[in-house]
Amino acid sequence: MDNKPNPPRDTFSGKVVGTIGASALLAGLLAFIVIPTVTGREDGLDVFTALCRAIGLTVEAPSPVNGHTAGSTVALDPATSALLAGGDPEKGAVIAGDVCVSCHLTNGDTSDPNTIPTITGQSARAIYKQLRDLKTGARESEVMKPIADGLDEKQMSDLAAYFGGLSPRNFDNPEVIAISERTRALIEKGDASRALPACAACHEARAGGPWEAPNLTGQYPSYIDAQLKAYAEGKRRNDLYARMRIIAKKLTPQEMRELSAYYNAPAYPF
Amino acid sequence: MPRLNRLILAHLWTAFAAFGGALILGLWQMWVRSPFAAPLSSSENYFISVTAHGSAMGYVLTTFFIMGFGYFVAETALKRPVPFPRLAWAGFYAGIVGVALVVGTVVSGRATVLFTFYPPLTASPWFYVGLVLVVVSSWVWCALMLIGMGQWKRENPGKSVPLAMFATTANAVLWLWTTVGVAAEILFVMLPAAFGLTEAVDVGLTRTLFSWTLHAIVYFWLIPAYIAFYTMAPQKAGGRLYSDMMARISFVAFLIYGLPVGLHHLFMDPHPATGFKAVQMVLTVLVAVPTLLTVFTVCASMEIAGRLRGGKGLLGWVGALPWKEPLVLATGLSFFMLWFGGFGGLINMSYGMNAMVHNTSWVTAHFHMIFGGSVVIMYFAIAYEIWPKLTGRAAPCVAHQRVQLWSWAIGMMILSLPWHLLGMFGQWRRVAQFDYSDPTISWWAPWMTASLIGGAILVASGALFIWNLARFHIADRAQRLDAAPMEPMQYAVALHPGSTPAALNGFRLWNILVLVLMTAAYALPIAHSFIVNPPHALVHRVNG
Repeated sequence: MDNKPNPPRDTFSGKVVGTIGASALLAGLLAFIVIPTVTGREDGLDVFTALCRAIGLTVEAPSPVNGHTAGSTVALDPATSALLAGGDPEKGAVIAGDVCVSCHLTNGDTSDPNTIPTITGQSARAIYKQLRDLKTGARESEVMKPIADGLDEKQMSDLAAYFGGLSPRNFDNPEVIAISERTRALIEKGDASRALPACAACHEARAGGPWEAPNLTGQYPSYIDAQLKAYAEGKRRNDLYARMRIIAKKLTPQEMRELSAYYNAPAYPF
Repeated sequence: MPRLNRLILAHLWTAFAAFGGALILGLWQMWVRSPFAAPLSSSENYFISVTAHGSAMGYVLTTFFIMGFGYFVAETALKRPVPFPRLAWAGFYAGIVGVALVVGTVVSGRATVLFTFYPPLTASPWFYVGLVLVVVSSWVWCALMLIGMGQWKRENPGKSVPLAMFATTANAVLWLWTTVGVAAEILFVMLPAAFGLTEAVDVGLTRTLFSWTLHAIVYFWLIPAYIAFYTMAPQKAGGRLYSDMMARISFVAFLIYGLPVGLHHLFMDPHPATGFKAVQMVLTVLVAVPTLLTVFTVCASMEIAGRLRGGKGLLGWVGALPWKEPLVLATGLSFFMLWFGGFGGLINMSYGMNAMVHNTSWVTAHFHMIFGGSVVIMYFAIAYEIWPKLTGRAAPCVAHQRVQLWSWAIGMMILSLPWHLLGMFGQWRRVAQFDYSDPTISWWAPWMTASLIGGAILVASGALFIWNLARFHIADRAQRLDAAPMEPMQYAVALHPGSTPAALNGFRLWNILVLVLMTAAYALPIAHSFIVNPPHALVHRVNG
C-alpha cells in the first residue's frame, strides 16, 4: 500500500465521533426515554417509575393498572437449602397441633375439600414456599396470612418437614377418570399450538420441573379448579415468572374441570 | 515462504484436526436426531458430543486458524519477521495443553455443559482451566500482532499499515476486548464454583458476562473471511480493491458495534433491564452497516476485475470473473450464503421476532449458515491460497478444491434450510432425540432426513478438504517449487490509492470509543447484580 496517513489535523476523527455519538444518543433516547414512557403509560406507571424500571433500578415495581403485587421472593439458594435441611418434623408436629389441624387435620387432609387443600404428599419445599409467600403477601389469603405472620423461618421449616413427610391421602375416585384425548395430550405432551407445556413436566413425581412445583395427584378437584381460575384471572400471583398465570389463561373452563378431576384419580392412565 | 511457516502450519493443522473430528460428531448428532437408529445413541453421549462439537468448532478451529493466519499476514503483509517467535511457540503449546484438557474432560463426561456453559451447570474445573489456556494462548498472539504493527509503524513513519495487517490487528484488539467477559465469568464465578469454593452462582451475572463475549466472538471468527474478501479475492480475480478506506471503516465498525450488542442474546432472559436490551438492539442494527459496506465494496471490486477481464453490460462482468479460482468461487458461495444468514440475523436481532424463534432450531440453523457456511468456506479458500506459500508446492489438483467448495456450500444449505423451517414451527434445540411416532412432529422426519443428508455431504466435503491439504505435503518432489522462488504473497491494491485518515492507521480512537460504549452498555447491567443482589442458583455439577 502506498497510502499515506493524513496529517494529524484531519477532520475525520471528529466526524466519526459525531456519527457514533449520535447513533448512541439515538439508541439511548429510544431505549431509556421513548419506549419506557409510552409502554409505561399503558401500564399505568408514572414517568419516573417507568424510566427507573427501564434501567433496572426498581425491580418488581408493581403496575397499578394490572393490579400486580410483588412476586414470590423464595429462592432455592444455599440459605434456603440449609433451612429446609434443618427442619425438625417433631417440632413441626407440635406447631401443627397448635395452629393447623383444625383445618388441615392431623394427617394433613382437609376439613372442607371445597375451600381447603389437602397438603398430604407435598414436598417440604412446596409447603415452605407457600407459607413464606403467604407471610410476605405474594400469595393472598385472609385466613392464612395471620397464621403465616405468626411463624418464623425456623417454624416454617419445621412445619414443612412435618407435612412434607406425611403419606399421600387415598383417592376419592377408585377408577381412572374418563377425560378427552385432547386433555390427556395436554397433560402428557402439552399443546405446541398454544405454547402450553405438558402438565406432567412439572407436576409429577420425579418430573424435572421447578423445585417448588406441588404434587397435584390426590388434590381435591374443587381446589385445583379454583386455583386455575385464580391464576387465569390474575388473582393468584405467587408463581415464579408468571408460569401458571400464562398457562391458566389459555385453558378453557372444560379443560380446567377435566384436569382437576384427572388428578383425583389413582394413577396416570398412560 | 514465510520464515515461521512451521509455526503457522502447526496452528492451522491443529485447527483443521479439531474441525475434522468435530465434523464427524456433528454428523452423528444429526443421525441421533433423525428418524433412523444411530449407534451409541443416548442422551449422555449426545450432550458429550454436542459439547465436544461446539468447543472444537467454536474455540479450537477458529482460534487456532485465526492465530495461524494472523502470523501469515503479519509476515507477508508487513514483509518483516514476526516479533518474539519463541513466545509465539510458547503460546501455541499453552493452547495445545488447554485443548487437551478440554477434550479430556468432555470425552470423559465431566464437562457436558455445552460450549456456552449454561451456569449453574458446572463442569470439571479442568475444563475451564483448559479454556483459559486457549484464551491465554490467543492473548499472546494478540500482543504479538500489536507489537508487530507498532514496530512496522516506527520503521515506516508516515505510511499507512497494509490493510490486511490493519484488519488482523483490529481483530486482535477486538478479541482482547471480547475475552474480558468470558475471562471474568470463568475466573471469578465458574472456577470458584467448579473447585467447590462456592455453593451457588448468580446466573444472571454469568449470563450477562458471557453475553459480553458471545456476540463479538462471532466477529472475531468472521474477520478473517472479510480480510480475504477485501485483500485477497479482488487480487485473485485480477482487479483492484474499490476503496481501501471503506474497508478500514468496516473493520473498525465491527470493533465498535460488535461489542456493545451482546444482550440481544438475552432478550428472553428476565434479569437484564428492558432499557439495556432495547439500546443494544438498536446498536445491533448498526452492525449491519459494515456488512452492507463490505457487500458493496467487494462487489464493486469484483466488477472492476470482471470489466478488466472483458465483461460488458450491466452484469456481463459477473460471467467474466475467474470462477475456476477457488478463492473467487468461495467468495461467491460465501456471499450467497450470507444472504440467508444475514436475513436470519435480522430476525434474531428484532425483539418481537426473536421471541418467536427463541430456543428453536432456527437459532442453530442460523449460526451454522452464517459461520459454518459463509465464514468457514472462506477459511478453506484462505488455506488453499496460502498452502503453496507455506509448503513451497503448487496445488496438486485445483479441480478437487472447487469440488470441495461447491460440496460444502450445497451440504450446508441442505443441512441448515430444513432446520430453519422446523425452527419456525417450534422444533426445540438442545434435545437429543425425537419421538417421530407422535403425530404432532411426525412430519418433521423427511426434513430431518434431508438435514442428515446435508451433514453427510459436509463430512465428505470436509474429508476432501483435509485430503486436498495433505496432498501438498505428500506431493511428488517434481511439484516442489523450491527451485523457482515462490511468488510472494500479493494483496489487493486499492483502485484509488489516496490518503488514509490518521485515525484509520491505528486503534487509539477506536479503543476510547469502545471503552465509552461498553461502559454505557454494560456497567449498569453488571452492577445491577451487586445492587439488587438477586438470588443465586445452587451449583449443579456434571463432573462425572
